[in-house]
Amino acid sequence: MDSLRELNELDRVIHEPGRLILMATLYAIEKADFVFLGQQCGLTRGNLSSHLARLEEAGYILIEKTFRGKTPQTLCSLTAAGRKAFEAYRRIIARVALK
Amino acid sequence: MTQNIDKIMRKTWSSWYIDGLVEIATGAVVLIMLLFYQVVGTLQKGDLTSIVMGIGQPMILLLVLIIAGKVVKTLKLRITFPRTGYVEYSRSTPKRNISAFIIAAIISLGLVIVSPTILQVVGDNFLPVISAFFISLCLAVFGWRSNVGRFYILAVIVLSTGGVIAWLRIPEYLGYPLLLTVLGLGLMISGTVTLKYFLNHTQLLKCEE
Repeated sequence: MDSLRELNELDRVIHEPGRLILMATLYAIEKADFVFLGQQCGLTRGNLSSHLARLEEAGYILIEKTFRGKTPQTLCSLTAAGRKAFEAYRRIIARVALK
Repeated sequence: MTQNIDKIMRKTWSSWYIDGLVEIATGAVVLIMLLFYQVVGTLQKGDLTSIVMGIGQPMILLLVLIIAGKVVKTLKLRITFPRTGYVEYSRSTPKRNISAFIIAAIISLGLVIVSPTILQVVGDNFLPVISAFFISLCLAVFGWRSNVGRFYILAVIVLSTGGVIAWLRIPEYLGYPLLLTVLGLGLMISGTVTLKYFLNHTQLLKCEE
């Protein structure tokens, strides 16, 4: 019963497969562009845009639109709040998994 | 679930090694430093040049590492990122730093404690073997952490080289250069094969917009 209650504490923004993969990927690096994230996470452009927008709305990621030469580039990185939220999420999942 | 999250993170870290460039650079650094030490070793002891070069060794190593880092970064921008997308890896988690520190401390302590004891029993000829063991251990741990299988193969090759050195009773002054040559060449060959595979199996990606 305790573990079911703990599941209620899970961050719903992160606890979605596509967004979880994105958060885990971004947690392991400093920043990455749209193309790398799409390839690494196996998400379509539409899905990726949608998930990134949701994470940005939650304040978990920072999106920088810049240029590499003349080519537009969208760089994503986790914010401090995003890192803390992901770490908290992992702790809850680990606790639930142990029970 | 936590294992799946760890898997995703390891897969992300492993993409740093997808092109073999880091291995080629590391192998080159090992061979350059080996060459440098061999040159310094041939100089007369007490000679001013040998003293200066002896003091300059850490600076030379640092300079070589800095240059290698910049070369790898430039090559990744030109070769790798147009095929995989752009990524910066400088962030490392506190947990990763702590575990890397612990591993390095254990290995250093192991070398300090174990080497004299073993050498008393088996003789100085086994010093390269002990070094081979710890180098291969580092490679194996590195392979596990970065999820790159070919580091395990390199670990086996280095360990086998150490075994051959001990078996043939190759003297220390030849054994170490041989071991480091195998390590350096092994890294460069592994990196080159990986780079060739990467270039043959990937394409330049379209821009995001």
